[in-house]
Amino acid sequence: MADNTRSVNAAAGRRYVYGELINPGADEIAHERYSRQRQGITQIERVLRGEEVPRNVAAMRAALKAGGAPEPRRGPGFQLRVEPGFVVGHDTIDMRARDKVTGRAIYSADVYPPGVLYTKVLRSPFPHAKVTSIDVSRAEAHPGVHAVITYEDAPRSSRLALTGEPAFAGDPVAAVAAESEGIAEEAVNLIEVQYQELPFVLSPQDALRPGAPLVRSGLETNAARDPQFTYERGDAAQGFAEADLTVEVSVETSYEQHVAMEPHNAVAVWDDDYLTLYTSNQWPHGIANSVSGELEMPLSKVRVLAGDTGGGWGDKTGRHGYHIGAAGEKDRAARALRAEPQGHLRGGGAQLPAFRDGAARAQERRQHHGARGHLVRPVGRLRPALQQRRLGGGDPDVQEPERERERVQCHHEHCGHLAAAGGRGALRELLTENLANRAAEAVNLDPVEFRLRNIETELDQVDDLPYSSNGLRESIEHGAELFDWANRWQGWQRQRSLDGPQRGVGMMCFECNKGSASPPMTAIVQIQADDSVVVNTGAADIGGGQRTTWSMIVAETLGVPLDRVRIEAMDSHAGPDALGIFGSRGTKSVGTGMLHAAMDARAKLLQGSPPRGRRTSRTSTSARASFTASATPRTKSSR
Amino acid sequence: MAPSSASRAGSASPLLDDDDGAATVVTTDGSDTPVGEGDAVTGVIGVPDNVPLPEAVVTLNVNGRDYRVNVTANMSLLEALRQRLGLTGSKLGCDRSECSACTVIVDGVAMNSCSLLAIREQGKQIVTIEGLERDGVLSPVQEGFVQHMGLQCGFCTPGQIMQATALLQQNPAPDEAQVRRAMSGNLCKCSAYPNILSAIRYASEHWNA
Amino acid sequence: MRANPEARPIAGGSDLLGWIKEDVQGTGEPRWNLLVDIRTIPGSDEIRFDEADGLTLGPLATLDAIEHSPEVQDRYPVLSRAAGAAASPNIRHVGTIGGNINQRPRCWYLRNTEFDCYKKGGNFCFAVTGKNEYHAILNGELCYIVHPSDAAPALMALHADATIRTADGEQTMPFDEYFIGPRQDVLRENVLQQGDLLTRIHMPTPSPNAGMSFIKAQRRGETYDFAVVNVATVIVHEGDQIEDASIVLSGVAPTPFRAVAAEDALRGQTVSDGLLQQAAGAALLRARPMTENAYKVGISKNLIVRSVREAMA
Repeated sequence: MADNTRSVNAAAGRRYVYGELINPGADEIAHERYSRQRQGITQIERVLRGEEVPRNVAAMRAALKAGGAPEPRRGPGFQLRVEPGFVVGHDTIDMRARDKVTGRAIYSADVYPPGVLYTKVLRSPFPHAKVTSIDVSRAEAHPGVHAVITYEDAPRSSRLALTGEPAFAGDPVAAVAAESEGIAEEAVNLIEVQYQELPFVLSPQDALRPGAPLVRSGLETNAARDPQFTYERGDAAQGFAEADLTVEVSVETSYEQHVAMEPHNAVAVWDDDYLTLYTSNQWPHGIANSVSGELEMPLSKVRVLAGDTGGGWGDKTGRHGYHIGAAGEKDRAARALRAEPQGHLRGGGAQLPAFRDGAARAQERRQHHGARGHLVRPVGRLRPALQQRRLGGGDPDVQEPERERERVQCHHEHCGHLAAAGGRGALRELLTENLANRAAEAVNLDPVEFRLRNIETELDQVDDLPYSSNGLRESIEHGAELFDWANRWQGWQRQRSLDGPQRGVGMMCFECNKGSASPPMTAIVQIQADDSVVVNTGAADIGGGQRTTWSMIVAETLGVPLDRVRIEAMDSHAGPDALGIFGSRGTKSVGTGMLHAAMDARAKLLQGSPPRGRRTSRTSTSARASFTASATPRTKSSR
Repeated sequence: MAPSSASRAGSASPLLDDDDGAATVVTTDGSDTPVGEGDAVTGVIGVPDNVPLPEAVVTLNVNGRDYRVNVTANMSLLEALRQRLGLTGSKLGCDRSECSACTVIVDGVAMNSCSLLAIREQGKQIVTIEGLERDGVLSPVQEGFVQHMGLQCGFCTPGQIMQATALLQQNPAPDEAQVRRAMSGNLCKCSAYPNILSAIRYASEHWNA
Repeated sequence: MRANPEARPIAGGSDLLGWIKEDVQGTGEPRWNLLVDIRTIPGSDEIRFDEADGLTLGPLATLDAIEHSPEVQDRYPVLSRAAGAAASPNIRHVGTIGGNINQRPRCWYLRNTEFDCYKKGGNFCFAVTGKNEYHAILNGELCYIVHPSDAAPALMALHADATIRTADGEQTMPFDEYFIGPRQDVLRENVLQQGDLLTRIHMPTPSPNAGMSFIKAQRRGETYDFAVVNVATVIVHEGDQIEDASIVLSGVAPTPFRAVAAEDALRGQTVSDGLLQQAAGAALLRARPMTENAYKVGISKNLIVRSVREAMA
């Protein structure tokens, strides 16, 4: 692998060192400029001028074009060298492993401040209802209870944390803080609530029907077109009109849960008006943003951190009700609260409750994808018109339909993110691959051949950006060869049993997102007086070895031994926002930020530019450098 | 310290043997100290006298030392370890005997501490993840998990290690089928299972070293 | 315990503590406020085999101890396998045979506090119109739970007796009568009333010609899981000639289900593929699957065929 890459680079006459592009050509410079603009540099200027920030790619692209920016060019702006180096490419022990095998690693679930209180939540038993009366006097009088809050006490902006109009069975209505979990639970049972039951709807399909009950009062519709995932391209109507036949597919996936091993938890510690929130999470800054907004506090007074995190799977990315619950308004001056664990692991027994959810125990994605994929076949050649990037059609005159993803609310829990193949990826692949197979069958074509005729290897059809590489054709051909497809495929409806009853063959492709380099990718690299290195980042380490990987990147770039690099992460006040650890972006995105910051620091050191915060020692100077790929302020309303 | 609680601490189930069915109410000032060599007990939470929650002082032998601990009747061994003794290495995952992240070794047998009542575990030798390391040297199982990366997020790891330790204590050279069966109750969402098998193989090979 | 309707005996506690943590309550399920430790009763965990008398189990013998008892492994392999198939290693270390056969059903409506079903004193079975993938295909009435135990069908297949202590003293009955269906009392799964205790399990020495099999179908193979269907089979045979058959399934009905029709079809016959298919078909003749669990019918038939084959191998 490494040799191949080297030879490819050598053949192209390029040299890469530590990810830097040496002697870049005009194309590369143009691409770099485009990338930086796309990654927000110019957006900062806009914000400073009080202008509106374009929020989607299409608008950004339009703005770029209007400003006369160069057209995007294919090819990377930088590339990591891949041969084994000083540190990278050598096996190393995970830096957290020793603490984890001894029990010394502290997860936020392990944080028990002295005198900590425990919270329990009263949840609606109805999928949709209105609270007509609530009486907490008995709960408040219960010995050991310190505070009872209801939806009436919740911060105005945080009505989703506690609500008087529960929109799913399990929606929190009130919360109790008490000396122990047992007392809190007893007190919750003493709260008397009267509900008026309201009509509800449980599936996205039903929620879209005319006259369907609205998820919350005040809404006009349960659906929201999601501009981020909507694009139009070509003339779909014409494509369908020209078609010989049309195949349709609709699919559903079942209820999904994250079941991270560490249950959701949050511990809030107040120091006068300064809130420290220990919580198992994937994005400290994101949660800090939400919590500070809802509690109307400056971000400088809301610190979100975690030690180690026991898995996330997407669900620990955003703000949950328990974050607000733990930091409840009434208890500002009170002692720390501990949110109840949520998301109980249910993986062990056969009979998993399908409806059972105490909030955040389960997540139902609210996305409903407009499934409008179709394939058409004019005489003589295939004219695919799929709405998916990979199977997009190579012919320049192919007509493509719009792609649309709708977010539909129904009376289930709030949907969060869901990791990897369980989420929209699965739904997307189900749709696309089913469509491809049915179309191949309809036109009686080998499904492998069908795909090879229709794959897109040149241009990303959503962003209009050229692929640096795609590899899809090679993957399909290689897979077919390994599988002995040519001999095994017997034609549609003519599958033969190979080695036992009821076995057929089939094919599909799966596109796995291995993390794009997406902003913000920020880190601060500080070279200490003794040449050891401290890296500050607000990014999380959710157990995938992130801190080890980042340490390797920095050690490699700076040429220092691995054990002299320390990553300070998981803390919204210890480092800049590097976005969450989700979408497999830990290495490629956050790692890229660290790579650049380390390169920057190295360059400053070598150039002898006066380092900020300089300290002197007999053997070295220290330097501090930071690389900021993006510092786009995030508006709270977007979440 | 209420004298009655101290005197009851020795019986098997101080709260459960009342003829009249009324649970014994024991109040403490929360100033318990361990019986052992002056080791500090962390995280003892004083409960106000007006809280009608049955409490008792029990003696738990954890990692070779006796601790006097005040527990409520409904407190699991896991809660006692974590909240009363500050031994947070044993993890609370499901709280329902489903994930085994809370596995500890009781009298040589691996058990789910989330589903044991602390009050019933007196007089037993309890070993937790904190009790495996000796003078800064990892146990063979711990070393195996480090060397073979038998973990990612690490939250199930203490339970995995305790389970594997109990297995190897009884059978230092298990075959793979025996390992798989012994470990079958310990869930790992990160799916480090192949590496866990490697780690246990390493531990088996180094068991007497 | 008789005096206090909110008192409950506790042994291993694996099922009971989870039940209490879930706070499941209803007419038939008060909130237990007093647990009585019965592990202190001397001899309650004995495993005693006598060639003449057979096997006697204290109800507090752990599943792990039963699985690994040499006598059980040697003479009652179906019981050893069933005990070892239940739950997870850690639960088998504390879980008792009595607890395993007396554990409450796993029905997700029953175990959810928000569903006031028949078993909690309500007047509806939510599985009928709801999610019933794991519910009963046989003998469901009012309530469509399935019996969750792996050990119970093995005990029944071995013709074991239960001795219970009630207010009226001790009485002994075959396990066929010990488990009761929803028609008899929808609030219970066995004859035990508040304050009663299962005190002894006994089974005769099996015939030297007996072959045994226990097969469990579950969703997940390598970790633990409750049975979708399990079957415990004891066949007394001379070569291909079947003298007697005892076949009990769990996971299909509110009680462990003795496949009487299959037993009758096999008794006195020479084994053949046709006979096994006929017997399995007869056993499931009265199956009335619900909307989502018809798959259990096929699994049950196949498991019966396989288990008889295995027992006679």
